[in-house]
Amino acid sequence: MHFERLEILNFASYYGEHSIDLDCTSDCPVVIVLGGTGYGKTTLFDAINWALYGADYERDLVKRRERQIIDYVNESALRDAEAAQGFVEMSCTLYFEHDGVHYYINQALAAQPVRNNEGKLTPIQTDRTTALYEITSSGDHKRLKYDTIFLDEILPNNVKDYFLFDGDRIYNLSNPGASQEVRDAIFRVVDLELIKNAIGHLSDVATEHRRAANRESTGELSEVEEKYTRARDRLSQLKEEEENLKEEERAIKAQIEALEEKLKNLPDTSKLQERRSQFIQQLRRVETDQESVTAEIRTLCATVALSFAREPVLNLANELDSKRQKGLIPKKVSQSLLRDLLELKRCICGTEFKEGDQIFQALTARLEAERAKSSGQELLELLFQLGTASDLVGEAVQQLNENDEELQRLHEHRRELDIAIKQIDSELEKLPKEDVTALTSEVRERRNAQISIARKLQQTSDRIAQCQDEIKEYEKKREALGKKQEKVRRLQRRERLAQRAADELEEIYEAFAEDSRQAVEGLTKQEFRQFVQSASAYQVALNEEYELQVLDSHGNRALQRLSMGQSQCLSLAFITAISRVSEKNPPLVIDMPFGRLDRDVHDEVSTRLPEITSQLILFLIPEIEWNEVTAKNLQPKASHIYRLEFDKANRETTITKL
Amino acid sequence: MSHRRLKLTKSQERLMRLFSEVDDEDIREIMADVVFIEGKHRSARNFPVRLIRDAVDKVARLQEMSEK
Repeated sequence: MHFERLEILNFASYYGEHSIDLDCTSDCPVVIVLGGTGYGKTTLFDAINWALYGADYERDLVKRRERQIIDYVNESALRDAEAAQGFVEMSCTLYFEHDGVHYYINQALAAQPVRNNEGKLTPIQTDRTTALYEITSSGDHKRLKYDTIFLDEILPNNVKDYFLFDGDRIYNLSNPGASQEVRDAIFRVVDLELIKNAIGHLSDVATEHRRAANRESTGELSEVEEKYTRARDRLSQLKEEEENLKEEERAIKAQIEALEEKLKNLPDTSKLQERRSQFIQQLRRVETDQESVTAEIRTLCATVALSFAREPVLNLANELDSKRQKGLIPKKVSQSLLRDLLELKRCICGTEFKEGDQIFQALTARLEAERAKSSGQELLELLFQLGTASDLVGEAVQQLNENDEELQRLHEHRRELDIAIKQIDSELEKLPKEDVTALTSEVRERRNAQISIARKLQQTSDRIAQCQDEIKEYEKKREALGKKQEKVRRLQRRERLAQRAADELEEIYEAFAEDSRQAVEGLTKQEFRQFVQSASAYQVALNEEYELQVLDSHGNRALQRLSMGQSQCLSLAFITAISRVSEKNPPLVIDMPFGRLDRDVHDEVSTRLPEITSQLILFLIPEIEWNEVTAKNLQPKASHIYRLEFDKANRETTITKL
Repeated sequence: MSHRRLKLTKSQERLMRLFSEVDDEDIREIMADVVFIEGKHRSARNFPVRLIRDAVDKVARLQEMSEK
């Protein structure tokens, strides 16, 4: 199968008609569509899928994205239809070639624009058509009956997920616990499902004939038929039980493996916790320091608030000092000396005097005069006080600046500590929450459950063997007795043929499943080596439980040792392997293949992808996915590169060929 | 698509080999018919079990005829 062209009309953000050439050569098997998020890449991916699978894909859309196909009708086209009082047509047509024959499939619907209660314009589907045409060698278009049988021969719907997929979904295959999906993928691509269905239908037919023979039989044969029917029913029941138990055993094994892996990789969190405690202690200290510096700043602020008066104060002091130096402020005369003289009643010259006499009055007057002069003394004292106050304010300003710097430093330190603690918290959050004891106890519980299931399986297996022996005995008896009752004999023959065919197919199914698993395992090994050459030390295995495993040179499990990118490559290797086993060689269409892929493997994957298929259609996000590395590898292999432009105002996408 | 005989894939060849290992030719024929029917109707909403019944019946009739 080879896609040639996609034509879309009024499909989602694509207003009007758009065409995209998908044809490519074997030398350049890649078609690249570049577009930012919301530009319409996934819409083109949906268009291809809808064109191919029609109603089946519509069901997928509802299931996976909760969207109806009618939601894809373009808004502008719908408005046009309303204005013209007409209908809007939406369609997707995919042209492709298969086995040398050219075809096209067209999915179309017509819708009427209707305003809902809120006045919002909505499309109501009025018509829906699907048409498949073959373009004959003479150029005529021959309409073929479309049904999914056609595609079942080329690319069955249940297999398409492994060829038309989005990057996100597929990388889960290498995760632990994905064995069911891995098993399904293999079973689908090699048609094991068909054989399983065939076994079921043949068993149903055998049961019908058995019951009819039981009804028709008489006498002793009736008794044998009854026992035989019961034994067969019991065998079916036992086999079903056995299958369920095996399924349960597989699930428990997977759980044990996942738990053991967790235990093995359970990190020692004590060092992180210790560092966290240290940081917390430091943080507490910083907080205390911050509080004390802030209190000091508050006190200093009261002093510093006076700094506005510092200059006038200094001026005043200078003024006073200058007056003092000029003698405008009288020098201090000792008032105490005058008081002493008055008390002793003796003048400084030695003359004695009495209270009330002239000398006494003169000295008293002098003391009074000295007292009157004390304002000058106060001014002098004020001069010194002003000088001290000014110095205090200056010191407070300097101290405040220093404290402010200290506060800044403490603030910065606190911020660093906060970040460091958050980082440790984030590291701790990423780590498994479980502790060793709980995990070990869980493993023990699962192991006990596993032993119990193994015992039940053994019992069931013994019962099956016993039941089969009984059936053989009844078969002999019913054959012998059936010779006498022709109608029953005919029914017995048909039952026997159907049952034996079912039993033989059951054996083939088991052998074929194992054979296919080995084939996929071999190819996955090869592909993984091609994808990640740097991981050559590891060996890939797909065990009997359908778990993708990576083993080191000692045979130990090493999946956890792979980088995220390498592990994602394991998924891609598996996809490539099943694609090769299926030999369907359909185009590989991947929506955002590198979106979740680590950049460390962009080079290897973008080199390898064009080599694994004859047609590779990639929908990529510029810069993130279409970067220097991927462009270098993919551009030379590309037949077409398209860029999607999105008009945000009108919500319309246009396709430009680069 | 149905104009030419499709080439068997390796897995189909492996399946054929496993079929060929079944000794009983009648059983082989039923199995082949049934697998073909299953493939043809794999996407059918209502699988025609009648066709499986017919495939078994056809072989049974042939056996009955040859016994007579």
